[in-house]
Amino acid sequence: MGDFTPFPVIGKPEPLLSLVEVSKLYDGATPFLALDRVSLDVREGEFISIIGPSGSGKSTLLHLLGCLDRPTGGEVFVQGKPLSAMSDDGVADIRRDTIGFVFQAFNLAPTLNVFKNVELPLMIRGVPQKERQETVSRNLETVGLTDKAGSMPWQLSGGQKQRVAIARALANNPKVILADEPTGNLDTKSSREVMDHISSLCRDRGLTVILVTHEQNLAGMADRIVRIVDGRIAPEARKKGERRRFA
Amino acid sequence: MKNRELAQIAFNSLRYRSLRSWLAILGIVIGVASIISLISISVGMNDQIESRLSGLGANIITITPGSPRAERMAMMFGVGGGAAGGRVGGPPGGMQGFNQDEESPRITFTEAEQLRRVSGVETLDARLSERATVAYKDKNTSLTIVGTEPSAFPESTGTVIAQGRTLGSGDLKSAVLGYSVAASTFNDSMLNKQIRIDGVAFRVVGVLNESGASFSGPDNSIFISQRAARTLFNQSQNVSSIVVVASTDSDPETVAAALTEKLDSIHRLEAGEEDFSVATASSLSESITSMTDTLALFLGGIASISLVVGGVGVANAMFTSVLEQTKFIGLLKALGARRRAVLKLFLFEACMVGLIGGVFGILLSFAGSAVLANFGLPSRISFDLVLLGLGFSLAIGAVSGLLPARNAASVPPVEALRYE
Repeated sequence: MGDFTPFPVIGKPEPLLSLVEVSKLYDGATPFLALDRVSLDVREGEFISIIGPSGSGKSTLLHLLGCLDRPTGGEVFVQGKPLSAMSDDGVADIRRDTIGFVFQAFNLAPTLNVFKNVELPLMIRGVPQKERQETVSRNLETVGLTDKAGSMPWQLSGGQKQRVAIARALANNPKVILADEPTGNLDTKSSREVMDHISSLCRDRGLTVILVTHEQNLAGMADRIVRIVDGRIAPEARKKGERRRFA
Repeated sequence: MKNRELAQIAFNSLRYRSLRSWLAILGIVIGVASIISLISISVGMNDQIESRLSGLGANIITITPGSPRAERMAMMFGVGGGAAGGRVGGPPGGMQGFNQDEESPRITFTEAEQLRRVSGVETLDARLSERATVAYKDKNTSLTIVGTEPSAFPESTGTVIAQGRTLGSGDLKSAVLGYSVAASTFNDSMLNKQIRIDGVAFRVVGVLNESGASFSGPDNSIFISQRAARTLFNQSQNVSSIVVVASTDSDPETVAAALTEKLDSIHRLEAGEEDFSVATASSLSESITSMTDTLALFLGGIASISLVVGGVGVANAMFTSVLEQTKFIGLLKALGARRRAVLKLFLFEACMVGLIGGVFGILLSFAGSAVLANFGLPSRISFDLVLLGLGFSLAIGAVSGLLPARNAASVPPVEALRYE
C-alpha cells in the first residue's frame, strides 16, 4: 500500500478494485467519450480522492468503480474478478456485499424513517431481524443519530441526512465506501462533520474510501489524489506525502 | 429480500402516494362496486324466484304443449305463465310465435285422459285457459281465465279456498277468484258478486288463499269449470296445460319421467324431441337458475368494462409511480437489490392498489345494494361475490402492474440515480 502505480503490478497483493484501460462512451446524437483508457488500482485501506472540473468524467469513474455501470471498453476487476464475466445479479451482489455509497443528494428513501433507511441494505441482504436491529442501532450511534431513528427524512437537516446515508453505507459492513460529492449540498459546518465521519472510517476502521469532490481542501485529506481532466487521469496526480515535500 | 419486507416497503410507499394514485384506486373501487352490485341483483332475483317456487308444491307437475326451449323463452318474457297458473294461449304478449308456429304442437283432451292412468298420478287437471276481458262494476281488466276440472280443484293450484266454496261439477256460471284478483285487482268483497267474462255473466262463489307461488300463478287467475271454458272460448279439442298432482308416496321426478314417456309414445316421438314440456318444481327452478345465471353473466360483463377502465387507471398510476420512484429504484439497485426484488416490489404495490380498491369497492357495493333495495330491486351480496370482487381487483392490479414493474426492474442503476 502506498506507492502510486497506474497499472497493476504482478507480485503485489491483489488490489480491491482495479480499472484496466477502461473507456466509457455515451452513445447518442453526439457520442461523448466520458472516460478514455483509464487505469487505476485501489488497494485496501486507501483513502483516494478523485478531483476534476465538472464534466471531466469523475462521476463516471466513480460509477465504474462502484459497479453501478459497465465500461464500453477495458475491464473492471473486483478483488481480481472481471466484471464482464458477471451477470447483472452477480454485479448487484458485489454492490451489496462490498460497496457502500454516499451520494451528494443523500438519496434517502422519502417514505421510510431513518431506522428503515439504514435497515434497507440489510433487508436486501436478507439479514435476520434481530441482527438488523443491532446493526442499525450501532451504525446510527456511530454517526450520532440514535435519537433520530424514528424521524422521517424530511424532518432532518442536510448534515443529518448525509450522516444517515453514511450509516446506511456502513450497514452491510462493506470493504469500500464511495462518496460522490458528499458535502456538495451542505453548509461549512455540516460539511466538516460529514468529512470527519468519512475520514475516520478510513483512519479508525481501515475502510477503503474513494471520495469524488471538486473542493481542493477536502481532496487534501486523502492519501492519494487522482485528478481527472477530459476523461483521462492527469499526470500530476501524486501521493499526499510527495505533495507536501514539493510544496 | 423477503416478500413480507417487500410488501411492507410497498405499503409504506402507498401511504405517501399522490392524489393521482388515489384517483386510480377510485377507478377500481367503482369497477368492483358496479360488478358486485349488478351481480347481486341477479343473486337477489334468484333468491326471490326460489322462495316463490318453494310455495309451489313440490308434487305438482305441469305439462304444456310446445318444446321446452319455447317454454323457457316464453317464461323469460313473462308470457305463458307459470306452472300452476296454467298456460295462457292466444293473444297479448306478441310471443305467440313461440307456441303457435306452423305445426302448433298440441295436446288433446283425449290424450290427457290417457295420462290419467300413468302410475303415481293422483289427480290430473286438463286445463283450458285463455286471457279474457273481465268486467266488474265499471272496471275492465284482462285476466287469465283457467278452465279447470272441478274434481281436481283446488288441489291442482297448490292452495286452498279461503272464502266461499269450490267449483262443483255442474257449475257452469260460477267462478273462483285468485287471491290477488279479489284483494287487489277488484279490491272488494267479491263473494256472490257478479262479474262478466268476455261479456258472459259469472257469479263469484269462492276466493282462493294466497299461494305466493310462481308469477302469473293462481293468485292472478280466475277459475271456472273446464266445461264452462270450452263453451266460453269455443274450443273443446286441445288443452292449454295439464296439471298433475303426484301421489304422496311417489317421487315427482319419476312421475314426470313416466308422463314424458307416455306422451312421447302417444305423439310417436323419440325421447329428446318432445313437442311439449314437463315441468316439476325442481326442473323449473333449474331452468330459472340458468336464466338468472345468464343475467348475472350479462350484467357482470357490463360491469367488467368499468373494471377494465379501472385497470387502465391502475396501470397509468403504476407507470407514474415508477417514474416518481425512479430514484428509489436506483438506490435499491445501488444497495444491491436484484432485478427480481425490484420487480416484486412494484408488483406488490400494484396488487395492493387493486386490493385496496377491491375492499372499498365491496364496501361501496353494500351501500349500493341498500339503495337498490330502496327501489324495490332484490339484491344480495353473497360471500362468493365478495371473494370474486377481491380476486378480480387483485388480478387487475397484478396484470396492470406487471408492465410498469418490469420497466422499473430494468432501469440501469446509474440512470435511475441520475433521474430528477
